[in-house]
Amino acid sequence: MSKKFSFFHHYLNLNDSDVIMSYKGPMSDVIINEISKDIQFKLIEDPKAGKKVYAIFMELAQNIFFYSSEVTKFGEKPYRIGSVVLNEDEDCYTLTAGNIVDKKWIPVLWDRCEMINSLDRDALRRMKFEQRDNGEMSSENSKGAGIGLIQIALTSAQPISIEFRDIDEHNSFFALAVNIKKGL
Amino acid sequence: MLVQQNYQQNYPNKQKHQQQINRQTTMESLEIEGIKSTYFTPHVSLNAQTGECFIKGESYLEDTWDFYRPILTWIKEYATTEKPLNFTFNLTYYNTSSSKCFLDIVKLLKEYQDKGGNTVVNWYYPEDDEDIMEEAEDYKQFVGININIFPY
Repeated sequence: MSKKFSFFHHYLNLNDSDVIMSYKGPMSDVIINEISKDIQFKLIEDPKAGKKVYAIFMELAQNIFFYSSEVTKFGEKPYRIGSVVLNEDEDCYTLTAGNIVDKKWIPVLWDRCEMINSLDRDALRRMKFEQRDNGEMSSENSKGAGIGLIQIALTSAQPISIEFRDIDEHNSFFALAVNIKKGL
Repeated sequence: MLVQQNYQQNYPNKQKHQQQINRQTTMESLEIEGIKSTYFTPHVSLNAQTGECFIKGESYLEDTWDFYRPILTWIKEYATTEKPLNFTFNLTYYNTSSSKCFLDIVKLLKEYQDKGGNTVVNWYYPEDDEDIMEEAEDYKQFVGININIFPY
C-alpha cells in the first residue's frame, strides 16, 4: 500500500478535518439514497469532483449492502451494517468506508487492492473490461459486476488505502479510504 | 367476461384468423419509463418498427440483471429481422452493475454487425464527465465496435 491508513486514527482525527457526512448503521437502499442526495447537495459548488464523490460513495455503499458480515434485522428483513465517512481538507475529499468481513476475504481484498494500485490507467481499464466480461453476476464475492474497486480507483485517479483489524477468530474489520481531488 | 366468451365462441372464421396471427408474429416495441426513486430506472425505448433504440438517464437498480434481461432478449430477437438498428446510450449516471449489462448490449450489437446487420451505436456523455466517455472508449477498443461518442 502506498500509504498506511488507520481507520481508528482517522476517526480520532476527524475533529481536525471537516466532516461533511458520517454514517454508521444498517446500509439500506433508502439510507443509501438519502446519503447520496445529501452528498450531491453539499458538493454542488464543485460539480466535477462532487459527481466523482457521489459515484464512489454509491459503489462503497453497495459493497456494504451486499458484502458486510454484520447483519441486523428490522422485522423479517436483514440489513447489512457498515460505516461511511466523507471529509475534506484543503485539496481533497476523502471517502472512508468500513465494515466487518469474514477473514477468508482478507487475502483476496488485499491482493486486489495491491494489484489495482500497481497498475497505470490503461492497464486498469483493460483489467476492468476483462473482469466485467468474465464475471458472473451472482457468485459469492460478486453480486454486481465485480469491478467496484477498479472503478473506484479509475474514478478517483488515486490509490486505494485499505486496512484490516481482527475482531475475533472469524471476523475482521475492513476499512478502505480514497481521496478525490477538489476543483478538477 | 361472459360477453368475451360469447364473442370468441361466435367469432366467424376464428380458426383461420388465428393461423394468420401465428404466422405473422410481428415483434413488439419495448418502452420502459424512467423512474427516479430509491433506485433509478433509465428510460428505455426499443422501437421494433424503426429500429430506433435508446437508454437514457440514470441506471441503478435493485435487480440489474432482471431489468436488462428483457432488453437483451429484445435485441437478439430484433437481430433476426435483419432490419437496421440505431442504438443510443445517453446516461448521466450508472453503477458498475449496470455497466456490465451495457457491455452485454454492446457485444450483441457487435454480433449483429458482424453478421451484416446495419448497426449504428451512439454514446452521449455529459461534457464534464470523462469517466462516462472513457466507458465508451473501452467498449470501442476492447469489443472492436465503432461507437460515435458525443459530448453534450
